[in-house]
Amino acid sequence: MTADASSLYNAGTAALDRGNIGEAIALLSAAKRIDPRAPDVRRNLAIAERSVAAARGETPPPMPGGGPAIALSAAEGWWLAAILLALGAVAGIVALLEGGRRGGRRSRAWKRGAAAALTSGALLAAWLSAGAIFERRHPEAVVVAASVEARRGVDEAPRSPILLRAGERVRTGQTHGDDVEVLLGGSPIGWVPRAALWNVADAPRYTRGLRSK
Amino acid sequence: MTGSRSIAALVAACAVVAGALAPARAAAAPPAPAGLGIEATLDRPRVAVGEEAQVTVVAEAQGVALPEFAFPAVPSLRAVRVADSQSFSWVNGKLSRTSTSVFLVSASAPGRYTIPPIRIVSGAARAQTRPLILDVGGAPSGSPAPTPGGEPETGPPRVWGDASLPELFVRFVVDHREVYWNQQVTARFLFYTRERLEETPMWEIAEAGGFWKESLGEMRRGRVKVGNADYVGFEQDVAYFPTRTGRLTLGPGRIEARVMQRTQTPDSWNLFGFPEVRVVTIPLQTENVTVSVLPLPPGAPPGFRGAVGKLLMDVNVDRFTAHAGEPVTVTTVIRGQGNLNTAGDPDVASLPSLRSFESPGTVTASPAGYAIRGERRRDKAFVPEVPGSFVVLPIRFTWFDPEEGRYRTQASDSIRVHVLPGGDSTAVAAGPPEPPAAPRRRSGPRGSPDPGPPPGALVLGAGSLTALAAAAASAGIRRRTQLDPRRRRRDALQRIARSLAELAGSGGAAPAASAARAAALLTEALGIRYCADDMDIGGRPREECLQVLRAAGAGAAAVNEAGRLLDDLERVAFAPTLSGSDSRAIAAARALVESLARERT
Repeated sequence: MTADASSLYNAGTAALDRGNIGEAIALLSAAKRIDPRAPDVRRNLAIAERSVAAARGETPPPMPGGGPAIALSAAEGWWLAAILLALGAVAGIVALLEGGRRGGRRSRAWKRGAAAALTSGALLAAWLSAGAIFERRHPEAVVVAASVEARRGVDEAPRSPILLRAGERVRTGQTHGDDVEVLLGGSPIGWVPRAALWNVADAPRYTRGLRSK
Repeated sequence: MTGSRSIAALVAACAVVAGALAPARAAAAPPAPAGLGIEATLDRPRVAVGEEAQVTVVAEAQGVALPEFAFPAVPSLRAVRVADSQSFSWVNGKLSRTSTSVFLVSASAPGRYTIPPIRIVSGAARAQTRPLILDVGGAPSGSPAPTPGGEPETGPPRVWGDASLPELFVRFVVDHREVYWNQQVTARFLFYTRERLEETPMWEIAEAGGFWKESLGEMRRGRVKVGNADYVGFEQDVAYFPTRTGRLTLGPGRIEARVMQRTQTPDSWNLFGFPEVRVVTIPLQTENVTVSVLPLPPGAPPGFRGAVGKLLMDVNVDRFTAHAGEPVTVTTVIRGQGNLNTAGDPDVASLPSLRSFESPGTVTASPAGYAIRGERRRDKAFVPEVPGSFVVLPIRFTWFDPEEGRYRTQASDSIRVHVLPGGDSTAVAAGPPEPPAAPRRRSGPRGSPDPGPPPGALVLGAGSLTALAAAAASAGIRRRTQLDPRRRRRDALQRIARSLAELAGSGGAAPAASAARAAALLTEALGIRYCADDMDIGGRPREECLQVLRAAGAGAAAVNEAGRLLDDLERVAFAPTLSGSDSRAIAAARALVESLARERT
């Protein structure tokens, strides 16, 4: 599901103005995934996250500096990996042709270049794949309800209820009916209604909903 | 005489009345100011002459300073301070200090001794204990005298040795014979010995039906004097909480002492006449003790949930100003002495009724002297949804005080919590708000927040790898074919055939040179066909070449054909006819080479 980073940013900024911190963090996080170096996206997302930290009594994270950010979006990372693999393939083909013609030193140089490009491209692709698989299994979500209780499951041992507040980032697991399992720090903490969470990856869907309203 | 006798009787009567009223007066004394308290307990009401009883004095004061106190002097009663311990607690921002002192008291003459109140003074605050009464009898209480209320003695004895001065004996003492339901009964299993023991004995205590029990720590050991004799005492203390009413039995406790006895060896030459040591196992068993458990008196206030003991309640609220949607946690803490597991938690409610979440109560308790002290904690979170305010209603906790014999209730004040709008919460908490960046007017980059690969990148990467794999496969195939000797031989022969064809095409210009070149190519082709790779027959004389071919296994027809062609080419090279026969000789050589290339060997 593709979207314009500006539309996500504008929707998140509007939610921030309205005080809907959870929605703002979800939309701005999605905008940051597409356009990670944009200073306005980073600034407004930091404002929203500072609000959540302050509400929880924690030390607010610092505001982002004014300098250029060095960050790549996932799509840019994938393109970089693909280009490295393509360059490696071209160099490898040239090395094969040179080897067939008994190219000697030139053939070895092509081989080394091909190996370097293919290795770095494959490593980058593997790292991105691991992140994508984890995101597929446990999508990142943001609490958009003012507060929601993470209840224990039917067969789970009794434990203290955990209250999640608007803007808290969680990972989600399996679903059961209208409830979804919530994980914090890799550990499941309970079940919450699916409507209380917004998946960051599905943020473009929410902007369409906002526009339709 | 009669008058003096009646005056003496009057004085004695006044003394008796005063003595009888003293405890009542002390009991009716005004309670100590909050924050200062002292309490003294006697571990047994009756001892023998010379036997020691234990007085435990617990003083408590708020703040760091705890005033000193002294044990009051009583004629013929000796008191020795044997232990002191202190503890601090910090609760709700208030520091309190508790001091526990243990005295061993023993009397040198029989009689009834009254230990006066122990007083402490801190500024204007004063507190004092109740007077304690100790009856001192004539015989050691460790003697096997029948215990009132005890069960008939069965099984192992309680005494070993002479009854008047036993070597070993056991006792079982409880602090109360009549208690209320769920009131603590402290049971002390005592073992005294004058003999050397091989190892520390362990008490084996029978299960008591109708009680919930909790050990009061490890077995204690010490030296005591009983009836002018020194003993080593071992004491195991257990707290019992009756779970039903009626006459219930505690005990017995059994112990097996492994006593090391010295015996004189019959053979004076054996071991230089040193006495031998013999280990004798002596089982001992205490009597049973029957405890009357009374039901709690009727008229329990509403909200009573079975808490019995000396308890107090604290209430904490984590914030008095919250924002809509933020939870406000109310914590109730019941702390003190008693069975906190059955104390129950007080009701906590709000006005107006709010969405709330309740955690199960947690109990932490540990032995403290002869009592079980601890606290029971429970959190309840209220979540206000709308701005305004709400009130946590007064929290009432009711428990039964067995010392006072009545129900007591403690109530907190109502607590008002102000609720601010939810959207402002973060700004208020975070200090000066940071202005957010303005909305954009232009479109930005397009993409997907999903971290999966874009289709174009996937196609590029996969296509590149596929092309590389295809190139590597074809290179491998080509390399394998190049390494095949038949393929290499055929390629070489075809190359020579092409050279011969070129010579045949240009033979008209310089027939002699072409024929010489063709003869050399033919010789090379014959060598490739019939000889090993490392044998080169190029440049050799004709006859030598033919001999080599015969030695390499060439057939006679092939050798003859080759000889004929070489003769023709040699003739043309030395004497060209400048006719078509010159080029025919080269064409024949080419045809032979092509036929060799087509062979499958």
